[in-house]
Amino acid sequence: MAFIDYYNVLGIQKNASTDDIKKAYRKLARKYHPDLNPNDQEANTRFQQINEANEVLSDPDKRKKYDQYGEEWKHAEQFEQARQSQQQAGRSEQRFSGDAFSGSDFSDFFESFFGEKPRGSGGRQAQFRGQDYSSELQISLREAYETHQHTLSVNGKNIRITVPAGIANGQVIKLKGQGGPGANGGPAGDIYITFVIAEDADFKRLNDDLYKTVELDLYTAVLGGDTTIETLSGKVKLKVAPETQIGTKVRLKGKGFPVYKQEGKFGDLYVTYSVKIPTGLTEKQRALFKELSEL
Amino acid sequence: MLPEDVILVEDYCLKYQIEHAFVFSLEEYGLIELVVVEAQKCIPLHQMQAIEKFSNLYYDLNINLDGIDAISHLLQKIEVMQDEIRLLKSKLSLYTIPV
Repeated sequence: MAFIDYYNVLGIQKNASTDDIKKAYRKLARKYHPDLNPNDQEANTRFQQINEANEVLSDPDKRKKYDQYGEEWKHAEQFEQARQSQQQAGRSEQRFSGDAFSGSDFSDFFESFFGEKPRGSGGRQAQFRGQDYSSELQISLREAYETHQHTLSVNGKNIRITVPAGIANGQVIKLKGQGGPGANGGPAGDIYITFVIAEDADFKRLNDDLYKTVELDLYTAVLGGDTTIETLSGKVKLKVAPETQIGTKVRLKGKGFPVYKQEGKFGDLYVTYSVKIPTGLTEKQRALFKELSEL
Repeated sequence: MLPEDVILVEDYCLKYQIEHAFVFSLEEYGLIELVVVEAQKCIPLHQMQAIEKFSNLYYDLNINLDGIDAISHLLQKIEVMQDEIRLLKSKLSLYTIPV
């Protein structure tokens, strides 16, 4: 685990005053606060770093310890123990009081250096409401087609959820009260799950409609006939009109994606025809095509 | 007896240690909607998340109410744009061949 230069994170000098730290923190927090940067994971990570730097540098004791050991932080505990035994203090080593309610996740570096997780960054409100967690759940298009159960792990806690059919890519579901526990009798936080629906090799989805390309052989395209296509609800036999052109679209009503939380309602499936030109022609076939071309 | 889906402004402020004036200012700016139940101003539960977010901005980040108002409009725009991007990406994917 790498050393983190908290002064660098806040963009301040080592001799910065408490006021400078506060100002720098406020300025950066305004820039990267999650409430001001919705769905921006990079800003979120940056905000956690800023919070962590502020947590250390705004606390005189923690700052002193951090300044004292700096890059030698890995040996900080050993130095501390040696110093304490010399003083024969006989009292237990002081640890920074942890709080189940942490404003954000802190780095391994922080925990190694300062022990338990710290309180949220002086947050007035952090003393009450539990932390919100967010998680991403990747499912396939075919999974999203049907209502199903899914188990996922958020902050070490296994959660079983029912994913309703028709869930959209990027859709966020809130699990109320399933986040971090509140403090002082405050309510627990929430869990926000963002669904990421993986691309499917056969179907493209746009809202509740599905799109699929079906390859016809040349003879069916020219002369017409039947073709069987795979939909998400099973196989469907289609009549192909004679002289069907490449790019012809056919709409199959109700064969698309289920409409979210509207049972029995489905979008449409749009089939686009492409035509496969035969290869490896026999002499006879070649002669017949030539004959056709000269007609 | 108050309905279950509202909380008295007074109780909320006491619990979360924020000023009444702040909540009423949010209402004046049109950032939240309060309801009157039995002649007392109450916060509907669905507004609590918004109040919490605005409290963060006001108390933790020192942003004044004019700033919060402006930010709130911009955040709404960002949300609309993010939805639009998502939809456009989804449309664009119709023209790309999956690998």
